[in-house]
Amino acid sequence: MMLCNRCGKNPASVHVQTIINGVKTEYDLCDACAHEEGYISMFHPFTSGAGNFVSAFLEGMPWTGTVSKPEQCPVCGWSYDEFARTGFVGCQSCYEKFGKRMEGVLRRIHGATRHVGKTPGWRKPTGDTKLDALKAELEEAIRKEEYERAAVLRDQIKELEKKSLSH
Amino acid sequence: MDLDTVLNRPWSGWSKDDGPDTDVVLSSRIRLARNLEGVPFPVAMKGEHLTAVMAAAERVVESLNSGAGLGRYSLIAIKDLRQLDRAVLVEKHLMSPQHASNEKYGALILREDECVSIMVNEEDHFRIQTLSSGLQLPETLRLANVVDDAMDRVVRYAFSPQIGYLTCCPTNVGTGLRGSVMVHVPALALTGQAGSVLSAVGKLGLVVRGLYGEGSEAAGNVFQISNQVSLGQTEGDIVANLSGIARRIIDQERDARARLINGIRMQLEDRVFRAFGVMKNARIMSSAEALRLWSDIRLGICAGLIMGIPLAKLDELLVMSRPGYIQRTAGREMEPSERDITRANMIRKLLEV
Repeated sequence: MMLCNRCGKNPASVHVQTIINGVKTEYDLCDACAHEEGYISMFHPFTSGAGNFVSAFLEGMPWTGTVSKPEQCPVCGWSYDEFARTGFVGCQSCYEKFGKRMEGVLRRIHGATRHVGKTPGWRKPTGDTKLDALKAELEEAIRKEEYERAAVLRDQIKELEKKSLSH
Repeated sequence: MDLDTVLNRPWSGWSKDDGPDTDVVLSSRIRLARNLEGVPFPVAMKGEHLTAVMAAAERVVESLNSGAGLGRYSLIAIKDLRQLDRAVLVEKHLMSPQHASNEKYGALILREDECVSIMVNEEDHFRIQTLSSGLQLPETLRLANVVDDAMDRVVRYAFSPQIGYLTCCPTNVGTGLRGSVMVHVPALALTGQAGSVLSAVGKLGLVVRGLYGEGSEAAGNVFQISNQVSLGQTEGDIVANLSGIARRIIDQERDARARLINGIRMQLEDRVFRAFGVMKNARIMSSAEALRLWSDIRLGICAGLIMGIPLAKLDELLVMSRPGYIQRTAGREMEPSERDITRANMIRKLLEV
């Protein structure tokens, strides 16, 4: 009798096969695990398995930091270890905090590190040249991990936006 | 919107209208992952953040309902739904199985015709999903964009000009777009080509998923093909690439069907009509058997062997034979053996012409 690859306790009843970028992975799951993994509904479009997927991309990316304490996002408290374990980040600021390594992860997953698609309304150029310039400068500061400068710029932008709203 | 109407019927607004290429493609689906600026993702969320997300969800529903031609939307909290109601929503692909147990934070925004559903606080704050029949990804994307734009007017999305829409999992960053097509390839499976065709697809940066039964054939010979990459390409390019590959699979499946008809017509007819006979007469039917027979009968209808049953009607079986739908329709929970009897009854009634 084959045991479930996930829990290792119950007999496997479902055989799952995924092909990602040409790499075929097969595993056998018990009913309970298949349900939890979202495979139980036969045509289910939501199965992500994303956690494992990201972990696979993180493998072979050794911890290169010199600090012994796990790196933490100052906003949500999420650590890089938690990200490596779950495949999830806690908030948008994690992307900045885990900057350089996140870039490597994105390159491995997507083969790219630059967005070329849609832009939400509030991020589109405002037509206010001073505001747009400040926003560009802010992005630059974040990319270079100059967070103090970024904080100052963010305040200036907020101030300007407030003014333009009150007009 | 009356949620009971949605849950009572085995069909959906989108499945009723016959899209293009429905002989091979069951559905096209677009998902856009979106998050609110300045609010931790659901995985790291605390009670106080829930208020912000739910307030945004209410603004979203208001914005969608006031937009002309966008349809009628309702906001439903997961905790307010009975277990069997949740099960049917999952079986109808309107929310994920994980979301069904998300009582603490989860909600669903649903358009009455089921073409649009938005999961609130699943992996991301918002997961916009649009569905349509057959292969029509660009149209399905257009609808998702219309919904997204209406939302964009009332909420501020987390976004970085460098890496795009920010999502809880880096696999969705950038466009936040996942396009999927559900293909039914019984002839490729019968001729032993499904494996090679689908693993070739897997080499093209796409993901192929199928659920396997005990044998080597995927249950119902249905596979889902979706893009993996969401960053570095435009939404239009992602969808065009996926459509192009779906188109190739359609061609290959149709070729294989033609070869079966021309080569072993009698064996094919025998297989199809045996399935039809069992489906119309069985008194006990497991969901696995229903799916296997559905696949043969669907092939028979597409090959012109079985007349008088529209594909959309046969495909109602995909929801109708699921445990949640059966039990909800009966109004109570049932043992699997009892479900198998009810399933057989429901299917016989569906196929009465």
